[in-house]
Amino acid sequence: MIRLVRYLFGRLLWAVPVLLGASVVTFMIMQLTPGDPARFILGQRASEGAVMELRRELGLHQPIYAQYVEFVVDAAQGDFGQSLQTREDVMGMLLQRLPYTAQLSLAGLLIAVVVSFPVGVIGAVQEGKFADHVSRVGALLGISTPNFWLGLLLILVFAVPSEGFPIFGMTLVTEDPIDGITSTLLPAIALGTAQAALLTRLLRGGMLDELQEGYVRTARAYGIDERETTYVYALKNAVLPTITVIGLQLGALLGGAVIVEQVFGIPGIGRMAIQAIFNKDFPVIQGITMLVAVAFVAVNLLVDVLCAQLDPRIILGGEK
Amino acid sequence: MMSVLQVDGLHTYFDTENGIVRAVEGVDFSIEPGEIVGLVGESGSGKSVTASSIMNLVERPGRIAEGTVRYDGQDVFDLSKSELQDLRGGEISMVFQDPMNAFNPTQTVGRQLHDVLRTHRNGAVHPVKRILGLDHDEDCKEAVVEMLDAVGIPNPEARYSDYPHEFSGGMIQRAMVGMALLCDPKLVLADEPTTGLDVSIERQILELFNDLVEELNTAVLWITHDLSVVAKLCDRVVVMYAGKVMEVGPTDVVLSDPANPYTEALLDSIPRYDRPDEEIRVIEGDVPDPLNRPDGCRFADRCPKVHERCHDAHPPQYELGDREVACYLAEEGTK
Ligand SMILES: Nc1ncnc2c1ncn2[C@@H]1O[C@H](COP(=O)(O)OP(=O)(O)O)[C@@H](O)[C@H]1O
Ligand SMILES: [Mg+2]
Repeated sequence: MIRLVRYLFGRLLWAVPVLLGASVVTFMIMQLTPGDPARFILGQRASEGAVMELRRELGLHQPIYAQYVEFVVDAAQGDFGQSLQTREDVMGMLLQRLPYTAQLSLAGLLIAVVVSFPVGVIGAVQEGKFADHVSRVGALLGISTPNFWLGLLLILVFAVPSEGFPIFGMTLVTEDPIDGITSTLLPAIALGTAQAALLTRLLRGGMLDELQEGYVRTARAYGIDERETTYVYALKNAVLPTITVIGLQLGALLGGAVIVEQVFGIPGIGRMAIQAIFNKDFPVIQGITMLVAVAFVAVNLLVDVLCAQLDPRIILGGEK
Repeated sequence: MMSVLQVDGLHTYFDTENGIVRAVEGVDFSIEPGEIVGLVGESGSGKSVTASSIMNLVERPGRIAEGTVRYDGQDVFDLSKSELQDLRGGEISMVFQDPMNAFNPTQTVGRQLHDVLRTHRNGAVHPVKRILGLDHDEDCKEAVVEMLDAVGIPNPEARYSDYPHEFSGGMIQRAMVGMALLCDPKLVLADEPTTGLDVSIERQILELFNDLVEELNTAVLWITHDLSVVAKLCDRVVVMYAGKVMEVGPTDVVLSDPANPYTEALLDSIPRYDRPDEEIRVIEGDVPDPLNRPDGCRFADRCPKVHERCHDAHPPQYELGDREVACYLAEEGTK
């Protein structure tokens, strides 16, 4: 237990440089615009007075290191300033939109896991047989289907002809569980399919590798039931690297969410990001970037905890 | 008295892309109750494949092409799946080389021994039941702790809950031996169980085996490429080369007066001093390519006493006193 705590503390310390790095990148987003950022935001036709005012608002008149320190101090307190477009508080906007993206991403991930685990494992156990071919072709299709196309297809096939699924928008499950589920199902499938395909391949490969391992041979040589060996010993070991990949795939999942939110008109972070980019709304862009970085660190910390619980070798390796 | 194990005309082949690998090509020998028999030969001669064949463990692309293996008079290849599961680990068990690899890294050593004993006492369980730990049997655990103690693992109660990587090489091999003896098998197949361990640990494992086997009257097939270990441990020895048995007989006779030039060459290649890190001196020439073995005696190309006729056909087994020798030179001796 003490070793686990010490291990996790080490992982937590790692989060600090990662987040600092992310803050530098985020800060530089505005600095790297060609010429004067205020002029860039307001356009060529804006008056000199308006540009000056924006420069002051964004703190651009200060030296660059002072700007960065101020940015980090504010960001640490959740203050990213106001949206240049709507004058809303950026943090407030993020908190309002985050539940939609979280609901969509979690549902997509859930679908991916629920589909990929059985399909990948059966593919490996039935290697070379019919079920394996079906699982491999399915995975290939899943990986090569663009999510926006799949989203439109789902809307046309399911949402348009039926009353059950809304074509546009999403309800939070906390507001209305039934509507929440029906409005999330189609976008979550559009988002989760590629992940499901990826995890299926990963699990199939992992299971095939594990079934070649010495301990499987030992179990066989000792008369242990094939099902126990496969679904207890080998499966656990094949799932471990898969969990790590799920954490690392968070970026891809959020990237997919940007598109899917657009297709289904979901008022999440992704849609907000696209609008902010079009409007050159730098405080909003910075807020979103930092939020994604924090989410990435948090999810991977969670993954580390889970793996450390499941794999006794990790903590030992972490100590060396 | 019926032999514990009777291997007759065993042929095990692997169907590979490059052709058929005849890993075992006609192996006969037997083991009596309580007897320790050595199976020696250079690496690649088919010792491990022979051992897996005995337990009918050969997997795709391998197959038993010919021959019988009788355990207690019963043909192992005729057993049903469930009879085979009872046999494996229950009647015949295997000690693997590289035990660290033979254990599952993410289950405790004690749990893995528990699962073996529980399977043979109470039968298989549904995987979900096993994942939830509902198959746990206190009596099995107790027996495992006793066994860990018997094989000389200190503090066995605590070690039960340790993972394989927390064991040293010698300790994990002891646990492996414990696993092999857990269900009171009548026959243990030990596949190079001390290869890679240092000499003092090797000596401890040998002593452990000697004691336990004597106590339980277990028969042992001790597989090794090291004749000095055979000299210390085995009652009889089977010398294998390129899938064939070259010589079988009582250890002292075979080692003091080898009748097959291959046995002689093997004896010459034992290092003079007991230096574990020194590789045994290789016999002149190479082990024949298993895909393309000579038609005549498998050893003819490397044999210092080779004759014309050796290239025609592999010699049959000639009886010479209380041993059998596959060499034309032995035929003259029998006359
Ligand atoms: N799975 C396999 N596929 C193809 N050839 C194999 C396989 N397993 C063993 N062999 C071949 O069988 C021969 C005997 O191997 P083995 O019994 O492991 O030798 P030993 O244990 O005496 O060192 C070798 O030539 C090896 O290449
Ligand atoms: Mg071997």
